[in-house]
Amino acid sequence: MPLSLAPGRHGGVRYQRRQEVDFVIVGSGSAGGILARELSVAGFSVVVLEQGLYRRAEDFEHHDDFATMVKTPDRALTGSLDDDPQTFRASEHEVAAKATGGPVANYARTVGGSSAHFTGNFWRLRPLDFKERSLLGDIPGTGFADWPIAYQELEPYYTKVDWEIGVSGEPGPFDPPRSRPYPLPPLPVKSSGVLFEKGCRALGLHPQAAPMAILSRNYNGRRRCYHCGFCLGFGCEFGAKSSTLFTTIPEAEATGRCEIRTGATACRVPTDDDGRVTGVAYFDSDGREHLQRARAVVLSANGAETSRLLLMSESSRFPHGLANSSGLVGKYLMFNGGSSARAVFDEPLNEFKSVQVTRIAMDFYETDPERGFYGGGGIDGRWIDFPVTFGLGGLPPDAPRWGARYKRMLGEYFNYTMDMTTHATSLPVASNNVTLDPTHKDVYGRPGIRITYRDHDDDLATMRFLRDRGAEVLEAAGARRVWKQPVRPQTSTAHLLGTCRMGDDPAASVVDRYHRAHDVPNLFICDGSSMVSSSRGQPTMTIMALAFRAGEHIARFASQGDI
Amino acid sequence: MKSRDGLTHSRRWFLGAGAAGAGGAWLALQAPVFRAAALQAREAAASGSPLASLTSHEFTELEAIAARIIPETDTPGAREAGIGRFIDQAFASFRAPDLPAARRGLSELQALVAAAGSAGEPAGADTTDPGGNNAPLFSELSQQRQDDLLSRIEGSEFFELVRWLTVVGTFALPSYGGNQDQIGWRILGFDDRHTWVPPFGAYDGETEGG
Repeated sequence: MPLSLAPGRHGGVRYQRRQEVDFVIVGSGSAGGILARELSVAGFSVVVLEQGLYRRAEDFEHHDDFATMVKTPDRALTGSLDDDPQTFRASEHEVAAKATGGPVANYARTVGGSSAHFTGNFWRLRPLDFKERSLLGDIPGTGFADWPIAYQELEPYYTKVDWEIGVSGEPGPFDPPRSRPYPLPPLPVKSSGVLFEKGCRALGLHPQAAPMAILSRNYNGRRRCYHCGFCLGFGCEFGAKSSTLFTTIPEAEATGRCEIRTGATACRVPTDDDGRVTGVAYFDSDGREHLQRARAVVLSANGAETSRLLLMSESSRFPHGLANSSGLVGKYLMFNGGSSARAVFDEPLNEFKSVQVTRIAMDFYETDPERGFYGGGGIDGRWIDFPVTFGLGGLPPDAPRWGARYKRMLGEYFNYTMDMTTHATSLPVASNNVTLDPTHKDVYGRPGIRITYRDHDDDLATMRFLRDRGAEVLEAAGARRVWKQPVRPQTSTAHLLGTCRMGDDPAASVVDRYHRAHDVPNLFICDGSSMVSSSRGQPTMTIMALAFRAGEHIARFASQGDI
Repeated sequence: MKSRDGLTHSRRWFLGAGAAGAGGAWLALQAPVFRAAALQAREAAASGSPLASLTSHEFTELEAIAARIIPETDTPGAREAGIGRFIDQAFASFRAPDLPAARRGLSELQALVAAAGSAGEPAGADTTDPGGNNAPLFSELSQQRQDDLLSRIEGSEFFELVRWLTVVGTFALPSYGGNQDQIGWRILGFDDRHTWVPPFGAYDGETEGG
């Protein structure tokens, strides 16, 4: 597996592996990239272990949707399932099957992590998301719980994300309180956004500009979006996408105290006789194992990788995996629900241009007991297909799939179609989880990630409800034809949430409110795994806000000698 | 040396020379196996070099199927876009494990052709030997008969494999070898540029007053 270890543009420091640094961070994504900057700016020495490559703006190929969406082995940012197999099953009674068509847990293996290829929908949580269990009561059979922190405690860090990472938008009628306005105006509306507004207004809904982690204007030395149209699943060739790749990681390297070590695949977090972690063991790209020693370890590898690493780090002292006395490492996995309706219009929309989403509606965000099930979410007007994926499955389900009529319809639909995509809650269920696959191993001999998942019935009901509302918006917008995509239990996700949840009770959570593992005083975990509830389908901004907050607290602990 | 992706120049023009230097070196460093194989498809087609995985018979038959999946109509189709070479390269690289299944599928399709042969075309076929060697090849049948036979195998693993390869090859980047002269993108109406300015479509055009 050829991996190159390109040095950082800002010439980050290089540490000797035997040299003990203050922090090793596993993962350079939305959380790890921010923690790297916060801790190195605070004066600490930091090594970030990133299993992927160091790709920069000029390394991302414009509209290579074949590689990006169809997952060709060598080009996909998400890596190779041959090198690192994943398995899936719907219940713990089944033998998990090896994924072949694409990853089950879909994340980018590259510096910046999935913030390099995300769509950029940056929704804050609302106050209710942090205390929904108290508001609605218990939901039997689930681990539905409040967060140990409230929205007010996270608000300053959401604002840091807005201003330091770069978010374009304007407030909507249901937005939570904010202490500063958006730093950047919304991106220009697309035809899908205009039609979305028209349909929503006709139904009495409240469309608003989509808050996007994509620059509408030049900002902080970065170039604005030039509307190339390839965000979802693609790296940004202009650096306009507000990834940690283009923001906090160069700043971390510029301190001279942070090394981004690529091609470094973590395989174990060893502990000493006192039960403290001593660093992180990893394989380099040649398959040689090394140990990077550190005073403290931060895991920000995402809800699947972080869980795998903890479960692989079992020992006589931690027989069920590191930091797992609660038994909750890997448990309560939440995908977020998603569904869609599509429509074709009379005039060209040309949705292949510019960012994926420009308008959203939050009218169905809250759980409404009248509906008879838990859940809520947002809907957006967007474009989700590219030439290859549109050819494979973009037409209505009753359309021909080959032949002259198929070919003609491709031309009649490609520039005239839009999608109404919904983003919804998932309930935390213990039987939805990440475990180590007993059979399939990666090229280094690590057990593959095994995902066990079946959407809760309320989650499926929420998906259907939101999809049907989306279809109504499309009808009200004057679509020539609307069709609903079927809602089925999900078998893959890009959202890996809840698997090391935070909480005050060590028996019911993995980390405390400051992201410190209850069981290990110098181990911190901060990524999507920290989330107690699922959000309404757009978790990345919250993961970044949690990372800013965690960075502040961890730096304080380290300064006080409390790590 | 030839551009690696045919798009690099426009991106380099935009990003500026400094960044381009590093990017070009980086691309050269990582040059993956698949990419190299795909690029060879174009060069192989241009130079008439030998096929990488298929026999010339298999090439002809698979190309004939692809040419009915995305046919030439008033505009060019998959065959004209170079799909045969794309499929050949795919079976030589990232879809190599599927080549035996493809060969089985071709044999089964040909058996269907032979079984249907007694229906009477083309003239000269040996109607006394419905399963035999004198049946016409699939690629020799009329388009109507080809379509009839493909309708019978639609949904089979073999058909879906060929459809997948045909669609992917026709609409992927031309540098992969199967979307030559952007024939696939012109079928869709996809316009290949790196930057756009609003208005993007007819509806936001109305809003913008344009």
